[in-house]
Amino acid sequence: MWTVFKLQWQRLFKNPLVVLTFLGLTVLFVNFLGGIQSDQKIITRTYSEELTIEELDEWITKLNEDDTFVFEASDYDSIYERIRMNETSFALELNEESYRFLVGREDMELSPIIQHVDQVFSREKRIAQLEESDLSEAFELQTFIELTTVLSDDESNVSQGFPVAILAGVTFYFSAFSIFYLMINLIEEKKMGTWNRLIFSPLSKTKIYLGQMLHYFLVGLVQIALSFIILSNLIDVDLGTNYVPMLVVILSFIFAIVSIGMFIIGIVSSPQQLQIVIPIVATSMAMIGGAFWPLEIVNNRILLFLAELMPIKHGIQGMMGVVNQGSSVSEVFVPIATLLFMGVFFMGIGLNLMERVSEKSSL
Amino acid sequence: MEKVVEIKGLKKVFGKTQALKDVSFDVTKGEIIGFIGPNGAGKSTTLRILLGLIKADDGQASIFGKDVWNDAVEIHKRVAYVPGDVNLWPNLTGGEVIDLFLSMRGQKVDKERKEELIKRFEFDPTKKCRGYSKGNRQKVALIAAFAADADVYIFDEPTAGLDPLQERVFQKQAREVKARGASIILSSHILSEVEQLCDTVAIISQGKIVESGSLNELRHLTRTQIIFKTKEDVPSLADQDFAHNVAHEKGETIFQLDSDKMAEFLRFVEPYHVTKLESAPPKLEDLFMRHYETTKGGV
Repeated sequence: MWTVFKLQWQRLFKNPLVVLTFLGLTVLFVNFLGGIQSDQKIITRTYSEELTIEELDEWITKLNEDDTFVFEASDYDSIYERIRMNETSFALELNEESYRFLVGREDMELSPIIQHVDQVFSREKRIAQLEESDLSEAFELQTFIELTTVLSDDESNVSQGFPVAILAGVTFYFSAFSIFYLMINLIEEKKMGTWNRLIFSPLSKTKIYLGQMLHYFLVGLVQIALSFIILSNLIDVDLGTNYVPMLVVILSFIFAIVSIGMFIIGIVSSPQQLQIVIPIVATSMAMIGGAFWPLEIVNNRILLFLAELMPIKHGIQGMMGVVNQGSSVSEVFVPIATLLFMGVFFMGIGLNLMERVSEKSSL
Repeated sequence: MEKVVEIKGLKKVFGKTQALKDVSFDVTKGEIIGFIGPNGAGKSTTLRILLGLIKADDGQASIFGKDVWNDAVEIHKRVAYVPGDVNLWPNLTGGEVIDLFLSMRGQKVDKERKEELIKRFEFDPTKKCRGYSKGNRQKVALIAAFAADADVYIFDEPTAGLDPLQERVFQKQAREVKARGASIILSSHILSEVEQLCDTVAIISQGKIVESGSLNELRHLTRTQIIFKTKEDVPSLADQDFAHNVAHEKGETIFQLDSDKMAEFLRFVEPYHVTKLESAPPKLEDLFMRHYETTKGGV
């Protein structure tokens, strides 16, 4: 078994392009998709027709004390143009004694900003009033309550839901691609006749298959692990330290993918056909399974039912549970069990088909 | 003698074609058997069954007394195989593949022996298999086979791509393993090679073993070419039962004699004052051609 395992690694090291490409693509995609999400900060363009530039800047500095919101100085004409062209949905006008929002269309980000501006504005006005009054001597500014503003309403202190789904989805998608592509080797071996060299060795078929599958398994695991490590550092998604359940989810997912791979190569008989089938299967599986967008936006019942049949959906679900809710193995039992079931099911059929194919081809 | 390989009444059908009808032969310890026959006669099918790659429909085949299908893994530990067309992993080097083949046997690689064989076969193990010619790919399999301490060697046209010099190296190696007590099944179309190397021969035709036995035994079954000259004219030689294809050339008579009728011929010719008598034993080729022609005629 280890000889076959070693042989596959030897072949991979001589030709690592496929796996490295998919690893690179994972980083690129997640960074692109996830990066857009996490870098997004709400920018509020601010202008004034009464205040001087210095006064406006002073206000903007005060408003920007909180990192969640960004206020930028601008002028009425350009803001008016932007709102008209629907490039921005609202802007803030500051005056000596008042402020007002210029709103082009309703935006869900508007209300926290109104709240924030209101808070800052009334505080500053109160302080100004106090300073003008006779009490200014006895006045001391103290912060009694420290307020922290968090943009998302997610209770978790780890991360937001969406980037984890994307991270896991895209990583799983490309790892499935790598595994499937490496499996072309198996069909090639059968075509080339080197498979017979393996059969005609003191290794049982079980050991040969185990050696092969262990290799795919490990390649998948290494790719997923590397992707997670690189990406969580790159786009700042914290995957937490819930390692054991995370590993169980990943391993179950890889098992299901390797099995589906075996099933596919049991049906498809030539490497050329496989090269066509792999992108179709992997990509449609990822799209339906919600690797590229959250399944919450899908309403079609048939699509949602199909999603249930995709291992990637359960993989993502498991990962989200583990990362976002800090679930234990037993709490993400359903996705894990579903993945394992898929693995056993497809492996059984796949191996049977493969053996049937090899019986035929050896005639 | 201890029988190492035993094949009895082997049958195999592929769809509508009956590839093997009745194949039976044995190989004893330390014996080299030549397994010959025209293309499509069933040689490779028999070997594939012996290797456990396909299952026979009927009959028995065993190596070391173990069933070739059920105990394939056990048997393969002591068997080395070289196919006619060696398939290798294109992106590994020859040396890596040799090591791989040896490590698959679960034995420790005898490096000295391996190096010695690489030298003898004048093989460059540093190149990738993708670039090897047929002959070089065969060398990979031959080196791996001879470097392994097997008890049975199965060669399916192992020298088809080798040059005559390397062919000799192969024969020398084959004799060495035979001397060690190993048995060899050699399937080949190079009949001179089989003749030089093999103790016994099994000829297969249309899925049946049509002849088997030692070369000497088989020679008796065929005709010997006789050239003779007499002082007095020999009348009616062509009418004799034992004489075939009688021809006269430069005062000499040439004909084919049934090998078991030598005494009869000598009695017949003796009264005519024989001045020259040459007898050439039949070559394996003659034996083989006889069956080959029958096959062709039968089709």
